[in-house]
Amino acid sequence: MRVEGAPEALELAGWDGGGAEGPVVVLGDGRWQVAGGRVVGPTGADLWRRMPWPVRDSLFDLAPLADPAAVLVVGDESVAERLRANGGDVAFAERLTLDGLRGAGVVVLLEGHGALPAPAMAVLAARRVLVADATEVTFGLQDGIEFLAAASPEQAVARAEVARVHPDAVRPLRVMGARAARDHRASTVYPRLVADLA
Amino acid sequence: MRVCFLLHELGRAGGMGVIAGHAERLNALDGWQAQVVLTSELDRYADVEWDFALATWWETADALWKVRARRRGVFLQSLEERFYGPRELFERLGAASVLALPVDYVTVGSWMRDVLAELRPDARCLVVRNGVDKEVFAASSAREPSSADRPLRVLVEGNPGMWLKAIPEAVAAVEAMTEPAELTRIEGGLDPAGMAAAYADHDVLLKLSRVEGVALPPIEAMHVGTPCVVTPHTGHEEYVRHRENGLVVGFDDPGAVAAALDELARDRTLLARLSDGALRTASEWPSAQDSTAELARGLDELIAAPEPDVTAAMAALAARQRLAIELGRAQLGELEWTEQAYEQAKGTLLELRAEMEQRLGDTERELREIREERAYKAAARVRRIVRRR
Repeated sequence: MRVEGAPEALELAGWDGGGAEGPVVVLGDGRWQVAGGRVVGPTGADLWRRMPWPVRDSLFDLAPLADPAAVLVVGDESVAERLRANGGDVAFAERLTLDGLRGAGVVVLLEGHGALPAPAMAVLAARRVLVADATEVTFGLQDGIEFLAAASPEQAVARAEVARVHPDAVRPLRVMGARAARDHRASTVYPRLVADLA
Repeated sequence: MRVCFLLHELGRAGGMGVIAGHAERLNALDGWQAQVVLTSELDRYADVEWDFALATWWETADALWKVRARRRGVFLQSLEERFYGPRELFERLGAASVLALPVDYVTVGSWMRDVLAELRPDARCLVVRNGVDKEVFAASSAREPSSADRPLRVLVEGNPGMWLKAIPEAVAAVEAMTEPAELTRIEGGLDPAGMAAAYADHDVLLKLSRVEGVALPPIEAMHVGTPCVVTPHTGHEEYVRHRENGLVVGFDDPGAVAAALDELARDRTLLARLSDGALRTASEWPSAQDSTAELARGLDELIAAPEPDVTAAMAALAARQRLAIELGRAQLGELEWTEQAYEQAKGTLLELRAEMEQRLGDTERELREIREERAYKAAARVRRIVRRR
């Protein structure tokens, strides 16, 4: 099986165990397309599997950040600006990347489709606190247990503030989030997909 | 050793059956006395001194300090905080606080031990898997083999009123199958023999739960040779192996669930292989007696160990309270905002209503004035005359 996707998606959701031959699984994000590829992703048309992206195994061993209060906002710059105005160390990016994940203790993923964002499990595997606008489809995650759901930019700011200001209090979220991400580990999920296609 | 299991109510729920079973089997062991004690009846046991008191549900935890016990523990069958929604902050805090007590822990699944080890590195936690009654849940030669000539027989068990069981999703997935299937739903009320018969009468157990401790139905079904299709709910990894003894499907992916069931309906060789795998897994699973013996060994071990660390427990409790406080503050802030928005909207609505009433009054007055005019009266008279003709 070959896993295809945007380079930054493969950094987060790729699989070293896959070969070059066989069926192609595509990390769907609306941009990357491969003829005949089976698309996996949380939302979109023509999905083969509706699921958040699997997590590259190495992310489970990503080093903890020296400053757990560093925030990365993906998808809505106004949220980043408001968090900065509150005094936070806040970065903004259009898409989640491995480097961005490395530098953040709290990651705010805002994609606007109501489902858990595709790279959400990577954030949890890396034991970062996840704030996401997943208000409809959460793939087994519970708001307040494994992540913090935000139904609006205002809520995203409020939830990120809780995580930023009280890193010790949100430790259970990091622990439970990492536990949930285990079921999405690349070396667990991709072999199952291979078996399903055999 | 005298052990009491603190229970908030008696019922037929699986978790309560596990506790009652342990108590009964501990009593059969030399030197052991075990009692299920309802928290509403603590007064009856005021003079009894227990060696070990075990809370069994978060609402029984406070009773640990209302009984006379040398040692205290929590028998964890799930992380109960997860039974509640994000707006049920008090219940969540109450349930989570159980993990921050100066007690020892016994849990039924290794995933809970692992979580506790991270949240409370100081706490001792033993894993005692829930045993299965091997006499009741046993493979029978009378089991009718699955045949491709017949629809796939799918069993869905669980209370449809509990969101975490995802029963509507399971029913919808079966209805979305393209291959013929027969669906049976069991909402409870069967005794173990009845459940064993139900498992044996079906080709596959479908369990799409979102939250579990370590669910017993899939492993019970495996004992009679019925494989399962499950979501990766917590605890499934204790016994489900994809394509060895069952199929694992993703959460919130009804298409994949229907496809998995369709595959089993088409490929009865695969179904038979999964059934064989299920029996192999079941053969390695502890019996109810094994499980209770393990519990007895564990309690012996715990009571011989030093008292649990109070300081570490209090630190964990304070941190957990902080999370509830901060999330509660955020929710209250949002509620306040919503209330203000409501009051503002209500004010606007009242202003609009007053304006409409004013305009209506003006219109009625104008109408009355028009009707008083001589020209209007003359026109009305002419209209009446014309109508008569």
